[in-house]
Amino acid sequence: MWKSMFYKEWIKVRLASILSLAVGTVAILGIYLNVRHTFIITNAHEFWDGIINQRHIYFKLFKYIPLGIGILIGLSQFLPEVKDKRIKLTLHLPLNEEKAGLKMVAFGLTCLLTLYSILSALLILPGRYYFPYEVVALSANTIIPWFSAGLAAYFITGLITIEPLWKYKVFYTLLGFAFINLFYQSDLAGAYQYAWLPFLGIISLVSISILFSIYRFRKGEM
Amino acid sequence: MLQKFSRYLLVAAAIIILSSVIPTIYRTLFKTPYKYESIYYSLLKDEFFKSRYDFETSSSNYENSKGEALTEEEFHKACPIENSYFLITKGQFPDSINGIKIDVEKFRPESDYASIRSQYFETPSYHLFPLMDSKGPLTYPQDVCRIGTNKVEFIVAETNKVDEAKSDQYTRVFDNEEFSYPVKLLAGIPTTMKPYDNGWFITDSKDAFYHMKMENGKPFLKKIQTPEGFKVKYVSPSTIESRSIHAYVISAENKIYVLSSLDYSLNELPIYDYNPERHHSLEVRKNPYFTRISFSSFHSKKVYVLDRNYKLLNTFEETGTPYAEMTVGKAFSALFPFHLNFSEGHHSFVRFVFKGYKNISWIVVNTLLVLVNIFIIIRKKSRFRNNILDLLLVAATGIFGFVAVNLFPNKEY
Repeated sequence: MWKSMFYKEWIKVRLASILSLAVGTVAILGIYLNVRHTFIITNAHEFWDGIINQRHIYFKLFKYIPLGIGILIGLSQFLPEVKDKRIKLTLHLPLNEEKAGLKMVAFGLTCLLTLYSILSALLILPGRYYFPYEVVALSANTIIPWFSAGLAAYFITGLITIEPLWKYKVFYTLLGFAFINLFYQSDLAGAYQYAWLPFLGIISLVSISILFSIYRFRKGEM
Repeated sequence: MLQKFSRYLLVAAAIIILSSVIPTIYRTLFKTPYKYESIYYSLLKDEFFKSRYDFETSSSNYENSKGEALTEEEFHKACPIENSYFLITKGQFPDSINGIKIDVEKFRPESDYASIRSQYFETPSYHLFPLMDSKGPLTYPQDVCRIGTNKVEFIVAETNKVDEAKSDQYTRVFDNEEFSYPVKLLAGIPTTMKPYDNGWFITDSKDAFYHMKMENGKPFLKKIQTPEGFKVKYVSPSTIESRSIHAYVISAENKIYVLSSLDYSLNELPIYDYNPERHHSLEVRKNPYFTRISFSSFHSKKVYVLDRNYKLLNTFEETGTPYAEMTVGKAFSALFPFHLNFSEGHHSFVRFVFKGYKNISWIVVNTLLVLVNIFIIIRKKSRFRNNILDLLLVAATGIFGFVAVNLFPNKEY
């Protein structure tokens, strides 16, 4: 039964996953082509000066991509469920509905974490060819809140999509917007190094939020 | 059961988020007025003058220490040193002030300005820096320096490889001076937009203070003698044209020092109430005749004027109403039992800063919100027993809890 369910989830998210990976990879390719181009046409030390002293983030193009991926995966996974109220079928399976809901989220989360792992490796590791490890380490630190925003967006997208009442959909969107905004408060590289752990704590609070919406949906909230 | 639990997790998350968002909206809606005024010192009259910019009329207003209004010309003449540019242009600059002969030629080389913002005291850093040649032309080097855990390294940007020969040369000098790795503090001016290069001021793991330079391609490292137990908190290198000052140094005890370039002596300034956690900006303005040091907090401004030997000449203090005592501040305390900030004035990191429960003025609003919530429960004909935790949350967290528990309704089916 679980295999079938995971297969059902994979069918829903596969296109979005491939698209996300493609967009992320193209953006990273663009970032490093730009770095290479700048190294060739100007001087490497000027580019380093921009990063180290003028605080430029050379991969800023990537900033909102994890957020977009989180929302896309969330929508692709949960929109088909609310279309024609298909989630009712899932909830009528001979499974505990809480477990079914959590398995759905676990699948989406695994997908998202796989995508994020690939993209963060693609973004950070080539940097070592061009920059000292200090730059690479702080760059890795800089992208953590961006990926965290993507994770938070995925869970909130699930909550909003399954929520049956439009009034609450709007409220949760506003709250979600306020929450996501907290991950983009500072443009300084490494500014979140003391904050990302508590932020992950808040994300874990919303991680099973879909159960709340599923419960309301099943109880026929209109 | 898990569904109920998920609701409380959502309510907890919403309380945390709202405790940052709602107070921010409040502060945006009810901004406190800010006075754009500068304090000037008159060596001629040994008196402080104020200049206030009026955005409505796009003009500056001037007044003396008694609050009497002055014209621009009167103000320029009253503070000749600080308005030397205007007076020299008009040919009205005095030859002497209170018997002190004024040499206009000294103005430029003996003047200095430093703006020290507390948020730079703690800021994320790559711990890499460009070491320019202090005796050569002012150009950006091809490499950056790293003072690692046991050696000094220069990484060439073109190849991203360590220049072993240069690194060994510097490491030997550091070892000779008994530098204790790794470096703790790095202070320099990493740009070519400065009159000259004076290297970097660094502290080692044992808080010893050093001046590091490159002179004609050769390493220079000088251990600076400091008082017993002295710890450097912040260094603001000077670019004074006469090169008489190396840097302005702030110690761990928040004392301000001038590091002389004549003998590397640290001259402690007679200022004992500067606190970077409260005073978010410190300004040093030096001219050949006096040094004016000012710092301000949300509601207070303090100015010290020191003579050429850094002895106290005069002080100015202005204290406004603290935010907590303003009407908007009182309303803030009454509405919000606590609030969450993500930034503070004395560092550049994003941090969770919880402030609140300092007084009991929020109790009235919280009690009202609990009563409103009881009314909602009765109106919805919910069981009181099922909403006890919600009511406790509203009682403890006030408006944040009230919004959160109603945003995620505790509906009984």
